[in-house]
Amino acid sequence: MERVAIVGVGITRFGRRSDKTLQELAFEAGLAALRDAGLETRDVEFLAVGCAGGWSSEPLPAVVVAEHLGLEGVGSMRVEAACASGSAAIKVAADIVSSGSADIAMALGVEKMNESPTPNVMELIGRAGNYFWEFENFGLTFPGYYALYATAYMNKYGATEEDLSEISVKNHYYGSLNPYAQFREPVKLEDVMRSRYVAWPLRLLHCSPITDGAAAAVLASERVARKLTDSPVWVRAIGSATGSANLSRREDFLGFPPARRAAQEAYRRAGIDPERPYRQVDAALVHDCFTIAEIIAYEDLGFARRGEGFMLAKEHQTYIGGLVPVNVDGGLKAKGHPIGATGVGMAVEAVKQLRRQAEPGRQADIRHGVVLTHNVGGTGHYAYVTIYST
Amino acid sequence: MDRSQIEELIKSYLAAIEEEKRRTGLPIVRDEKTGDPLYFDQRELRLRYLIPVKGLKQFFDGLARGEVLYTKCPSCGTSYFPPQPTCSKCGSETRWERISGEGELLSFTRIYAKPTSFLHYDDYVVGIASFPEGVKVLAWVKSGGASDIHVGMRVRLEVERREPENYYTYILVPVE
Repeated sequence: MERVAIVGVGITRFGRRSDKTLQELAFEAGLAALRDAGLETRDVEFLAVGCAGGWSSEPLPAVVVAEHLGLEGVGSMRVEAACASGSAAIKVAADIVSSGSADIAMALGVEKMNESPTPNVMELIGRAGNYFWEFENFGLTFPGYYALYATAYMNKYGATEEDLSEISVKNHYYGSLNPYAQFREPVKLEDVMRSRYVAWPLRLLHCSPITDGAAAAVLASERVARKLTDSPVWVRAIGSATGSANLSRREDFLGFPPARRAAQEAYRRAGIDPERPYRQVDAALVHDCFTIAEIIAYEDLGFARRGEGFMLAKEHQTYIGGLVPVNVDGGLKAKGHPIGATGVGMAVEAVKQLRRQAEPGRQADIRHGVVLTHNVGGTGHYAYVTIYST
Repeated sequence: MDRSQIEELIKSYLAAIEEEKRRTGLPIVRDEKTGDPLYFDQRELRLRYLIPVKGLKQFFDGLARGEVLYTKCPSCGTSYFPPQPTCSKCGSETRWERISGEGELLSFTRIYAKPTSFLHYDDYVVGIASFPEGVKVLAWVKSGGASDIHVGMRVRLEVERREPENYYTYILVPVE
């Protein structure tokens, strides 16, 4: 198995991108990634497109993206792992390269959510889980699923709505420093607490927005990567796992066992101490589709003990300078959450952090040369934890 | 916003597009936030699925009798809700049993921002309860007001006719 490196990254501004189609957004990110790598379209041997789709008009995203990027000649596919589709596309591209079936592959995540009205988007995401048993009769929404975890977590451990809101304040702060973020305005704790409930106990400002955007990463074998760049970023380890479709089949509503398993696998492969991973990780990009999700991520990743994740938020331990900086790009909360693009966007940010190219005020201190990404699809349905290193 | 207001809004939006088409011959509208031109898709697709329930016939027969059933594997003893005709662990055919005990509410939420096909309902409470039969059930929780539901409360399962669609489904009802 060959080592795999990211040799080029590109990303679009996230947000309400009514100015571009799905393939135009993908082109913007894909071209930027190729230029960053010093490569041309003809160098790419495989294209994996992370896209959940449903809300946008084109049903075959990999095909329209390949056409627009001039990649019709090579193999391609759409990769779906709900909100973790982007990380799944990276896994596919990395495995294709490490197996030797290609020297250069592109993982591209793209989503055009604003082609549908908000209630339809709420419906499509709400159907993601087990449609027949949990949506058909009960109309759960994405905030609703996570609210079930928030209620159980707060009830068990005594976390408050204010503790959850700290996540939003932090991520909006870092989003305000990121020119690619959907929300560039910081928010105060009072603003979060004044926003309306969408699914009690979650308020509007506890939720990631509906977002359009694209991100791309060019992956290469070690042999090719060494020729292209002096500073490759290695895809050092990927852990993945799947949870039950029905929430009613879960043990409890306090954490996501698939995310824990994915983290353990990634730590084992990367040689990171699962008891104290924050000692070896310079920054983490975690799946904060809702504020409760980031708190649960702290625990699933081993940054905090079970039931103590909210204390990290309360004590501001996940700002730069704290125990471990988390979501210094604004996270899904403020940077935005274009479903299939999110995981690739995390990879782009990991590379940016490791190259020390982040904008002023949001560059983590890179000492070990390790950045972790944690990308969860659905409500703990899919989990991907990836370790990137210099 | 209730369903009639939303339908009114959609109707006036569609009327504006028809007016635009009469004027210019093109279904191009402006994005409400950015002002960018958007092509208003002229093809509408209504989706409704036909879902096989042959393996779950007894569940629906049970509902019609006012009972909520789960399945249990006679070989390894694993209980299933949602019910399934075969055991995921050992492959045996499962047996149908009734959930009759009192359950404990493990968590709940109240949905304010609703999906399109649920816009016509009042805000609803969704909860998950565990039952002594060894299964958990996710369903609406019968609620009279904003703060009458709490984690740990006792609930039982009842079958009710869901209106306005007029079909049987089940609901978690707090035990007084």
